[in-house]
Amino acid sequence: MKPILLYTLLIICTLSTPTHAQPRYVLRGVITDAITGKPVAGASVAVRRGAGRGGTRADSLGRYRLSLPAGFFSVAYTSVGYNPRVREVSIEQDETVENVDLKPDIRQMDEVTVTGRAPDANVSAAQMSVVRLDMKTLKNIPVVFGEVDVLKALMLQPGITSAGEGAAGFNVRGGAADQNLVLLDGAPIFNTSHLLGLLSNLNADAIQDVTLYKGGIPASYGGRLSSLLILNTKPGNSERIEATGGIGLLTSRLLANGPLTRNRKLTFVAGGRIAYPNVLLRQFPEPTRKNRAFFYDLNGRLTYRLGAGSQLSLTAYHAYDNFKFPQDTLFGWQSTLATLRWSQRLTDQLNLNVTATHSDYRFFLDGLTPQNTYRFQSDVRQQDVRADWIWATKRHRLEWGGGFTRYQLGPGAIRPTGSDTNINPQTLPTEQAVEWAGYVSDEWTPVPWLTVQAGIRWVSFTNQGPGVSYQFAEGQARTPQSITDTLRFGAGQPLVRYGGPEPRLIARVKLAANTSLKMSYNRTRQFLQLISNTTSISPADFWKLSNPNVPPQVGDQVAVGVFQNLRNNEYEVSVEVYQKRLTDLVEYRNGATLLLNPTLDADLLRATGRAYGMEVSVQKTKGLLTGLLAYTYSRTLARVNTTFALDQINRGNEYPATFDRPHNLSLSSQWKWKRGWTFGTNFVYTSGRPTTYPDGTYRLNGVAVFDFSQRNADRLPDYHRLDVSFTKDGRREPGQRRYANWSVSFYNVYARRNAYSVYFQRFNTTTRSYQLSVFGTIIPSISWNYNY
Amino acid sequence: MTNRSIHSTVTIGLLLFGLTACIEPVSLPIRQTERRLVVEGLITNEPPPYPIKLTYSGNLQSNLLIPEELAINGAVAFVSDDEGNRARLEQDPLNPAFYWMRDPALRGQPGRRYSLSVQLPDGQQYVSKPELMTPIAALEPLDVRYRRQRQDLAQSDVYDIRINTQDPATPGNYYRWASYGYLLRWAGTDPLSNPPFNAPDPRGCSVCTCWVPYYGPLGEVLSDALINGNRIANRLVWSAPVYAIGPHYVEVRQFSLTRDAFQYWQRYEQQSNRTGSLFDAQPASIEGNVRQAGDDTTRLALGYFGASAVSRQRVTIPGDTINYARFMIRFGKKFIPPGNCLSAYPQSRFEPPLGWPPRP
Repeated sequence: MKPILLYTLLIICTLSTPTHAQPRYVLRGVITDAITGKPVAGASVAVRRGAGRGGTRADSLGRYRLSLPAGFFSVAYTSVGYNPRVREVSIEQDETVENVDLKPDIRQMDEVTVTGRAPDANVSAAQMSVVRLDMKTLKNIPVVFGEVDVLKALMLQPGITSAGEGAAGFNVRGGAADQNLVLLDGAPIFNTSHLLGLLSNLNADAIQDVTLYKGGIPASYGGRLSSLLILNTKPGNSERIEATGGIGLLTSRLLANGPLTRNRKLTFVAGGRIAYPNVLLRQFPEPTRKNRAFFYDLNGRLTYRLGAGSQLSLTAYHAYDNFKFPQDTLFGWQSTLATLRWSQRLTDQLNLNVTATHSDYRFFLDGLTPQNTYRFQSDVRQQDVRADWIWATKRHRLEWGGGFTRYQLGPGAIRPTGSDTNINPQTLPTEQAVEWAGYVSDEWTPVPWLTVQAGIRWVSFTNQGPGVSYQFAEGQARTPQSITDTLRFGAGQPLVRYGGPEPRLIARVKLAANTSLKMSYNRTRQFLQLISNTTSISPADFWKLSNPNVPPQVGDQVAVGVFQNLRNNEYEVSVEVYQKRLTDLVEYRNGATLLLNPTLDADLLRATGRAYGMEVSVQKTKGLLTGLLAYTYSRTLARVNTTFALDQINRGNEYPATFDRPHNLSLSSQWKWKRGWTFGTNFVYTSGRPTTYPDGTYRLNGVAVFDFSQRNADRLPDYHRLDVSFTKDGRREPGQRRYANWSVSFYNVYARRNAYSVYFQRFNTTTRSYQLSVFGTIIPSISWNYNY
Repeated sequence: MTNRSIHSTVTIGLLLFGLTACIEPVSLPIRQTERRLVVEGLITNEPPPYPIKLTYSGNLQSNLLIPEELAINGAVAFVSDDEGNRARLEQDPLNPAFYWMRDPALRGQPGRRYSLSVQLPDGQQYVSKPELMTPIAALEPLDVRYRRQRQDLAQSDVYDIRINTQDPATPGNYYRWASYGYLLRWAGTDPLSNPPFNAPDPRGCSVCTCWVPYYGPLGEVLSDALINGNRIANRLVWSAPVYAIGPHYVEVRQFSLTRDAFQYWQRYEQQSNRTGSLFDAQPASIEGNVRQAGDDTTRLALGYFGASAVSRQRVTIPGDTINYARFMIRFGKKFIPPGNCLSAYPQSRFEPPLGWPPRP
């Protein structure tokens, strides 16, 4: 659209230019890609030498047109991602045709792949607090063990942290790890980790795009307080079958995609990764070498083009992990997702998407101790059906829709295995719920300098029987002893209903051509929480639905930001501040039993939280050197205060959340060298994670015991790290189909022993503290990929 | 159960990347906050006296079991039951911080509730939540097995002491075990070169053998939540060290606990098992059932005042099935210190304690 406008404008300009005595002639032509023959839209044409100076840009079909006086000219044809070309042109007739083909610059090739995002979106789009990962640069970011990882790459972005190196999950703007809604093709993923969190289970090869909303969450989504992470599987190439594979130190991967039918209407994507961590394990002495770990993940997608603007797709995903500890336990977890989506363009302005998803997550643990052999299992199932309409005109973008969700949770079941076991079977009752949600949202641009996106989402959640609800005695702390009555509900009977409106608002005011001010407010509710009392989420954690004693968590966020693009959108600068208020967060009574506890409600406490912060980001998006500099200052505080001393944490005083890391700086850059080499660096600095050091010792049973009376009153030492990588793109010429990529990375280059945790032990008469580092040295890794 | 497994597994998980993971000592100042009352006491269904220890938390830096500044002297404490009986505790004149409940009228009975009230020298009052004494199942005869340790660990062999008991059909039973033993040990000489009798010996020991006490660790607590009504079979409670071949006396006591006490000791175990993994539970004060009385009832004391019914089981291990010559080849005189037996081992005695068979 834009180039045409520009073109027309230029035409108008050239037409309206008062004609001199000298007659003017036309130079026109088409600019094409030398390899594919496709037009190069938006290529610039500049007259460098000669009597007349001027320039224009090619339209969407690569056509250009210039008005020049007679004479000799040197005309330069340039476009991002191509080697510039200069032609000597002699103008001596009414119309001169000069068709030019541009050779792609292999170093900038990736930039031409259209991201579907306007170059000035940082300023012009209403959306704020959004992170989009460029899947192309992802491969040039240094990584540990050579495994390209979407979640680890997100950690370089402002406002996103984790509890520690190698910890599962991520924290967005001071939210807990279970407050992120991770959707792969619309289906929720309940556990994103492989190998206990050292890697994520999202295969970067299979993923087309990654978008994370830290705030200003669209009205079409809800259900988690802190963020929305949307991942979509690649649609599959309709031209030819492609394959890419790779071998790393920890995993091997293979992905194929292409057309399945002759008419190219049906395309497929199929791929997976398989890990062999046992090879590493066997290098260790007893007893570590007896441990076994294993994981894999599979991605698949079928896309069928029904006609112009109509498409049907089916995606599937499966991930599996297990870890075995000899003679003791084996545990594992698996996720299975499926999505069926129908997209239909109803009119030029109206689109409809209908999506049905299924997500299934299971955790199991096998006890292998003789006479205590058992299998413990917990699971979550969620099914959604939703329809979304988008109606877009010049000034409005109206979105509306609704959906229905069904939840079914098995919080825990244990059954004896083998013949000689003392364990009794026990199954906690399943939890089930239904949720209805509807939304409408309009993005309205009344005048070019103002865009308002206002929306509302209405959600209604019902926890349904069969189930029980405990009534607790008034005026005392909740304990299993203070249960006065147990209400039983039959199948389908509502235990409790929650819900209400969730307003969403974003406003963008354009202060100048390259500067805008944006504001957003959103409210979110969360009906599903992860029950976990550990510092980082662990695979044994399980999910729980809101019930009469556990109301949904509610979060409100306000954010304001200034966005500016510099030097023709080469630099994107933004400063955002945010504030959040969270209520009814789940906390745990000191020493609570979480697993297989039929009266878990009595061990849960309600907390309130608040978070605030500022994020500064400078991103260079074009050229041979690209990168991101991000700084975040953020705080997250929680409080559990009731009238009962046993129900208080930290004596009712506010304490920093485990993931409260005030200062956060990251600098990541990719520098393209010649011959396909890219040099990537990451530098990360964060304040240490809050932790609790002892503040007293006493003797009990003749043993010295520490007293940890102030939750998170201390902090681990600051964390910082530098990584570098060298990536070689094996393509000698653009359009080459078979080539290999090499990647060599060095993680933690200056081998800093960053503290993962500090713990204390008594040694005779003194207290000694020990610091545990996960990656206490430089970790080199190499990975090889082949494209076919 | 499951938490622990995850825990150890995760530690190993980190070791998986142990090429790079490392643990190093760091020096950190230990914060000091106000001292807190620590209560350690247990009333049982066995005849009194029951010791109750009152101390403060603080900075334990000396070798003393209880540093002078942390012992509470001059407190006024009472134990009472739910029938209105009350007995004042007597402070031990020799052992600071120890108070004794000697009133035979307050011998614990299952089904009764007991509580402790304390007035500290500074006037602060503390009171424990009444603790129910729950009944306890009988212990069946102990199961003892000799186990050779791996040679490279340079440790003595052990007797694995296992208990068997029948959990009652009612749910909500909680257990804990404690064990101790007396072992006849040698000093100055070994039984091969000197047959076991105790005449003054020209080779350096006037008393060559004596009885040395050993205490098992306070075992892990157990809930019947997963095993209600079943047998608790072959549960290892102690691996008693075998430093000498000869008779070995072992006693195991089985205690009943309330749910509160079980949770308290579980938290206590959880804390001592911390390894710095991110899968450790959030640390917190281990507060029990004692809190301040009066104005500020939110102030909780550390420690626990418990009430447990006890069942006991003893076993005498003759130790005559072990080949002494082979034992001596493996360990030599490693476990035989020079000199007089009674001075070589603290707490040792010439005759076994009352109630056990006499010296062989």
